[in-house]
Amino acid sequence: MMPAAGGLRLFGFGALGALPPGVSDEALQVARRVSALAQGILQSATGQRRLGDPASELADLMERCTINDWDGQGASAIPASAFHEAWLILCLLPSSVPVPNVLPEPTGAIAFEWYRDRDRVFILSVSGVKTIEYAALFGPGDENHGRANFEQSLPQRLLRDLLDFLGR
Amino acid sequence: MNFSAPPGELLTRFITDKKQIRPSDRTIKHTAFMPPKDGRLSVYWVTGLPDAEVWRLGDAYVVPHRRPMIGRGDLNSLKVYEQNLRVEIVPVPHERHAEILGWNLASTEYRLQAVKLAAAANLRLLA
Repeated sequence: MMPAAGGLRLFGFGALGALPPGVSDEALQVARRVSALAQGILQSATGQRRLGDPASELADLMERCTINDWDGQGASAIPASAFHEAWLILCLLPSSVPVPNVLPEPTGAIAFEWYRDRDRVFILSVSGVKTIEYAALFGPGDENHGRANFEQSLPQRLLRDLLDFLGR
Repeated sequence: MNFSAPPGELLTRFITDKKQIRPSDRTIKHTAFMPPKDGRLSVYWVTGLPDAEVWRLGDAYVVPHRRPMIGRGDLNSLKVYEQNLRVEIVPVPHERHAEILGWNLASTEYRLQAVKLAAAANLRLLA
């Protein structure tokens, strides 16, 4: 399985020259810091199996969602710091957690979605401001939403809620 | 037009991004119903319109600004009011154009509202 190409394209130095015009020095530094972490994980068989697909999806978002109005409806650009946070979340998720869908949000955030059916959806979202926002439908009439601080580890409360969602 | 009175009015949200739908069970993801930063989510009021006319609205007024049409999410306006949001006709670029308003973008609730609107919507794929 070779899905890591997108991830390496996203996080490798070779990709940085292809970033859209106007990307700041700070963004490049963030990308370089993440690069080292990403390449280490993706070079392992387990890392490729778990993270190759979402890394490719993040690469796709970096190509098309880092400028304002990327959706033609006034969406905000997704900042480099959001990609950094999204990648960290992927790396920090326990191996028992299924790989989520990766989605761009028009507010300039990256969402991870775990979907079971219409009434059971769990979403984590990051926008590069050191918080995770979440929204969850656990079933009819059972829902939750909120915000938690996020820097180097997943908030335990969020992780408990996610595992609870997946275990139902 | 009273969008909050039973039996409600039919709204549609045109979809031009394949990442906003789940073909496996023909459902719509929350990102299709998330508001932009100005808090005005564009929809069309399509009650009473023939199906072909609804698609024509999308072709004429949505596709030129976005990408090729993939489908649409049909939604009863009462589902909007259940989320403490509201609908207003904004007759530009067409008299059937409307907006879903009332989002509190400072709260995290707006994402949950978008999740629930997406769950309530009926996906119609372009044939």
